[in-house]
Amino acid sequence: MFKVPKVIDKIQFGVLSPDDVRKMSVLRVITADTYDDDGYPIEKGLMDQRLGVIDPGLKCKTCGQKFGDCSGHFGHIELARPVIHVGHAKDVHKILKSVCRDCGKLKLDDAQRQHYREQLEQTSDRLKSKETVIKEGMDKAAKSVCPWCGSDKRNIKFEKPYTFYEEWDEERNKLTPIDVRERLEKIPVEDYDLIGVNKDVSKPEWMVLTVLPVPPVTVRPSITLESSVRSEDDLTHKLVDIIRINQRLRENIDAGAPQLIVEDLWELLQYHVTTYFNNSTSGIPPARHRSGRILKTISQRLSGKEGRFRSNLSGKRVDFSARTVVSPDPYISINEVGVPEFVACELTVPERVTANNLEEMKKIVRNGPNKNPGANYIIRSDGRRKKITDTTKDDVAEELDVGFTVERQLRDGDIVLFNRQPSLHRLSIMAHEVRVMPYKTFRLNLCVCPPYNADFDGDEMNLHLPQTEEARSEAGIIMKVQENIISPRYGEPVIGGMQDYISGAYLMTRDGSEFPAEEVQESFYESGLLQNKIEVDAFNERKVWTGKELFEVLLPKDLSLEFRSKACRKCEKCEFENCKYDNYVVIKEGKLLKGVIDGAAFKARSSCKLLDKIVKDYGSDEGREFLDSVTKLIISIIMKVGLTTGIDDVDIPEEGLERIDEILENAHNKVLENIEAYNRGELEKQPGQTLEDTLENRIMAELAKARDNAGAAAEKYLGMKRHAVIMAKTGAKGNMLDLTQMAACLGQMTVRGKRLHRGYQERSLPHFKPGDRSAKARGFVSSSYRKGLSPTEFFFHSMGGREGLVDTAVRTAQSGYMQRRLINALQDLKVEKDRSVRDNSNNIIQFEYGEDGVDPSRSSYGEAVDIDWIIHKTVTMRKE
Amino acid sequence: MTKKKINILDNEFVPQHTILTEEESNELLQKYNVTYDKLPLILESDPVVKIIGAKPGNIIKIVRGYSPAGKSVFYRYVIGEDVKETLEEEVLDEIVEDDSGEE
Repeated sequence: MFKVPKVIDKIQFGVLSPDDVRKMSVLRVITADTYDDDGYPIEKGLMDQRLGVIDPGLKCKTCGQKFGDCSGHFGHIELARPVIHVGHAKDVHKILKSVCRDCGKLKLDDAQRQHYREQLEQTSDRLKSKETVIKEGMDKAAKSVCPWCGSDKRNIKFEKPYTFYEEWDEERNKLTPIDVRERLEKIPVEDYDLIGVNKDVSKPEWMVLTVLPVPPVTVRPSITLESSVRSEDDLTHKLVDIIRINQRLRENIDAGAPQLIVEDLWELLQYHVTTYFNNSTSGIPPARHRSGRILKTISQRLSGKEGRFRSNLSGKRVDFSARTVVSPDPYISINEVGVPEFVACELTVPERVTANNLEEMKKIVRNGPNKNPGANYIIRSDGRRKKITDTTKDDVAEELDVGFTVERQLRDGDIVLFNRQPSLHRLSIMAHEVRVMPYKTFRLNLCVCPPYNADFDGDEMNLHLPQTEEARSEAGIIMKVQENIISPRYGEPVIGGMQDYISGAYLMTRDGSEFPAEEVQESFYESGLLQNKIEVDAFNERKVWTGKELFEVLLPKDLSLEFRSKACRKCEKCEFENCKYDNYVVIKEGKLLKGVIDGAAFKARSSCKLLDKIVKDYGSDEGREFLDSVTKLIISIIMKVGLTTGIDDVDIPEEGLERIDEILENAHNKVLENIEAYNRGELEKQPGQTLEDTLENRIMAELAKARDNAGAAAEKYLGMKRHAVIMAKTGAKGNMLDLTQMAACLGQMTVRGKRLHRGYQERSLPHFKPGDRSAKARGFVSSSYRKGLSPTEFFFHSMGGREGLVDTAVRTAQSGYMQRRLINALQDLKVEKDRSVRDNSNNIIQFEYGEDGVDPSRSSYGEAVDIDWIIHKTVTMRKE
Repeated sequence: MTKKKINILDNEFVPQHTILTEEESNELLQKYNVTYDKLPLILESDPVVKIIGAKPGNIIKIVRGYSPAGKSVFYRYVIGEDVKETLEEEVLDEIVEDDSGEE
């Protein structure tokens, strides 16, 4: 098995001491240049060959290893004057404030020290951590006069990012890094624990740099462009700046230059060292490349989405994966995924050869690497790998023995993980069974589209192949598509029929739909149900089948269920099983007695009663089988019946159009009346609104009512004979509002919930008079899509449409960020054995999962048990 | 206008809060095998806490009644404003760091 070479027990963080820097350094860098005119690295320069190798063929002058083997060696720069380390500036400030400026002791007396030390010993919980105790102590010390030498209290002011001032009375004195370092040096070691410094690994004065480590060249490789021009890494550029200024500073000090010049250079050195660590420090301008590009220094390498952590450490790339376009295949199971042959030949699983599978493995090896299911490599018992080629495959098969491992190609029935981005919920990655197929796309059953949110307009999906038996069986048991039919979020099916499956079910099961025995037999054969669910004999007895009889075949034999279908008209008094519109579904003992099957029965992402019941009561196997067969049967039937839609689906007879015009005309007049009343000042103000608001609201209400009435008038003519209506009413696609917009009237266009009013002064378009508040002038579209829009209406319509587009764009960006923050906050939460929810430090988040202990995917519509169903079941059992 | 005194405990949306006795508190901590600092928190200045007179260090039992599966019981540990400040500082620091890396 896999052996861990070294186990990391713990990591100790501390501040790097100047001595350590010198100790790990192989070279003191003193020259700011990199290469000489011949392109050779300059001795004691930033590219000195002792710092590591970046050119293939050369050897490291320190360790003698080749490029790739030598990981590089640190050098160092002796700074002419110390500088503050920006990363520690805040901590330096806190310490400076709390220690005495003369004796260097922490400004707390013995009793106080005793008190805080005791607290430090005791506490280690979330509400009072060691940090808060230390902070308390330091705050207290900062406010007091030194109890040891009594020197006067002076305030230390910190100016971001790295300047310190000492203030007293009216005076103010700048503290140079030398001053700061002196003060930190004076702090006695006994006080370290109370200022939060671990005396074993750190000293506070080390937070002021006197030497700077120079990272190995392997960390900042220079690249040679095609024109053989060398281009240096940003870090090298920054180091060049530091060395150059350091040099000038030293020369000036040595030459006894005036204080002012030295201070200027010192400040400049501080700036360069600061930007070397973090080039986005607030308060100072970022260092730039000669071209004006902002340099990427150490902090920039680590932080952010493209940083070392998120991009290189958390974001790993994987082997044994594939990605291509997905396309639909209604004839494979929802559990399956169609994998193109050329992909299957590339992906392998290691399989151990045993006495039981030796012959099978030999056969696979004999297929070679180019014929699926074949094998690409074998691993002998001694661990040696051997590639299988077409020429060697027979020899390798002969050699094969128990104890070998065969890297076998993907074959039918293997478990793979299938994924579509964005992976917003756990159903975005599910386990599928492989089905190797010709051509170049992944094939996907249409019922599994909703959880992935996939369609086939060019979507690509990823496939991953688990490499161990444990991983494969675990994926197969808990991640299989059929185990995820019920959503863990709201406890209803997320996998199920959509679009044509729904309208097809309606066409099949509606009253009066009959099919001759030959057609039925054909359909059952096509959907693989013949001799599986039904015997051929059945067709000898029955010459004409009703759609309901067809559907029954798919139902479990003891299923009893009643529900209202999607097309239910919600009459005032429900007639239940005597519904004259056939919208009350009654299933008894597996017989579909009454009602039409539509969206309410098995539509994905809705509270569909039938599929829900089958999955919850009969298990996921039965659920998968039901979905697989129902979809195949419906496709076959809908191809026989036919479903189409065209513009005549929204045609309305002359009298209807007249009625609609009349309604709209009335509304227009009423709007005008309101406006006139407003102009005459007779309009009464509504509470909490201005007069204008009142008018707007009344007009909006009037027009909304008009649109609804016009829609209702049109709906009278939109009967179930029209296929578009079938689609809307059964829940396959669209709704009645869409249809009435096509047939009768579009209604009011709005931007930010208001009628359109902006554009020109006092008017929305120059086609209207300024101040025109009528319906037409403020974006009411009285035409239908069927009739066509007038030019002004068309423009208004596009305004409303544009707002929608902008909203979606903004929403996705915002919800993406929210998602990220939520995941960061919730990723470690876990339900413990006692059903409490806790985070990784064992803090209790909830005492009972979800505060009710219910898992939605195992409950029936949020309740722990479905009492009605249990009673129903018991009663029927009693009868027997 | 005179200020009308309203007892917020009478409002139907305010769930029932009770202070646990020392005994009950210990029992609770034992049941979940935790120390008090692992419990969810509630501020001393919370309106209901002020009325029932709980002090920092107490544990409050909150019974809510309108979930689908019946009543749900929650416990919270009362903290003072000082603890809130230290907790908030930590959280704020984290958020600031997080956001700066987001660009």
